[in-house]
Amino acid sequence: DDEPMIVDSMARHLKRKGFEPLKATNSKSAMELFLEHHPDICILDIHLGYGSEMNGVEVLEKIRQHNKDVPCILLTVSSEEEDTVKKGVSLGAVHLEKPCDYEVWFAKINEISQHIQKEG
Amino acid sequence: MAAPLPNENDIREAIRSKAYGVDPVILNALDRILSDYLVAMVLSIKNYIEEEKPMDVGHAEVLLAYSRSMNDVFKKVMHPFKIEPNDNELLQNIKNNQSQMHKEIRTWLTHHIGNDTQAINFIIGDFVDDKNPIPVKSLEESILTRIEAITEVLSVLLASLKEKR
Repeated sequence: DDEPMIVDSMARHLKRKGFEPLKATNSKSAMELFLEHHPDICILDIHLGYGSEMNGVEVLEKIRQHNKDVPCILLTVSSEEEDTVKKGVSLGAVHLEKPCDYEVWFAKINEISQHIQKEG
Repeated sequence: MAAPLPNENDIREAIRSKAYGVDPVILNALDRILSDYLVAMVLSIKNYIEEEKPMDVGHAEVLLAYSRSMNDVFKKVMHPFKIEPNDNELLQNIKNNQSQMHKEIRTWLTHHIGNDTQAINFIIGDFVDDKNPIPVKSLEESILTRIEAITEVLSVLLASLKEKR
């Protein structure tokens, strides 16, 4: 997410629940982290970057070039990007609409994580 | 406070100059319902800031409940099909009037209010979940600033309506 405060809050939540979060506040560092660490789950805000930076769906496209299966959650603020959301979903992302309660957000991550462990 | 949109100034100018109309039924619901929660939160937060004391978890849980209610109201304003028969009358008016929102205003509102209400929820939720009091610095810099940002967005819309009258 492009807001450091949100990223920090999310990371603290995840760490408390036993996850090992990696944090990125722009698309470049998000891709660098992905390529270096191969995370089990990716959580992308659609507004990861404006202007010259890639947005969350564009990062997702890049991720898919390297890994077609890694579960990705796309956080969007609805309506403004319906086509973008559809594109994200077509790339296999789970879509969560903002504003989203942190318990709902975590429940989705937990669900995906448990699914990975089951498949595992 | 959510980052400005690439065309932020254009949208604000269009609202100010009434190039983009603001539906008073929608704005009335947003303003009156959200303001109740925002004012309650501000009063509570400022109390702790003035006393230079962290906000205890019990009180933070109350604010978390407010943030959840704000999230719920906002989503219903943006998606009137989600409005239920037992919802606030102001929301019912949106559904009954089949009120519409200008696309650019919708984008602007969902970006600013959607992001800031979510941020408030996550930040307070983080402390509540960890059973930690919210430090004064976080109250001031993380939560209060976002409340003020939401209030500012609402005031821009309200100002355009007042000028019309």
